[in-house]
Amino acid sequence: MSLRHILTEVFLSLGVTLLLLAAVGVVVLRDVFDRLHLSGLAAVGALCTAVAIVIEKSFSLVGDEALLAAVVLVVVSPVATHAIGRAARIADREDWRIGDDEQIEIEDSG
Amino acid sequence: MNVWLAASLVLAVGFVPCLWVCLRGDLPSALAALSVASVLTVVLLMTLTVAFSRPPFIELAVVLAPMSMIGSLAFARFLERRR
Repeated sequence: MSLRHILTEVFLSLGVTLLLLAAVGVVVLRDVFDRLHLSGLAAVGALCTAVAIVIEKSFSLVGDEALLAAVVLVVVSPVATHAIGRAARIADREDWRIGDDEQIEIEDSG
Repeated sequence: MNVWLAASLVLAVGFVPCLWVCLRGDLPSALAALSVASVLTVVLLMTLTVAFSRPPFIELAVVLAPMSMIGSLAFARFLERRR
């Protein structure tokens, strides 16, 4: 068992674990805005899996394009997250900005 | 059974909670669950490509990655207009 196989399995299991955590979190968390955090976690899991593929296959057809797909996911998932959060706010209360009846509570830990 | 096939099977289990929230949650939550499920699909296509050693199939993952974001944006736009 070479170092390459060990590194591949480490990154693959890390990626799969992150993706599974994201999938479980979708059911565990309660709010839309809590659930929106998870697509970023899933994108990092995709990046770990792509790194595992690159280590296994080096920079071949499969390795290159897996890395491309993962980087596209990492770059693009915040955009989708922002759009969904904004749409949820607008569907809820007409405008996404903070209204006069809301106030932001800041916990003072000091 | 190699490591990649095992990883694919484990990833397929991850669809169950996403499907549950898509069916039972409110509409914005279903959209968030859909975006997590699309990331799962991209990774599943990558691992299945390596598991069955069919290199050209990696294109499916490359194409699905931007397409899923476009789909989420379209759904979000309809969600804004729904009220």
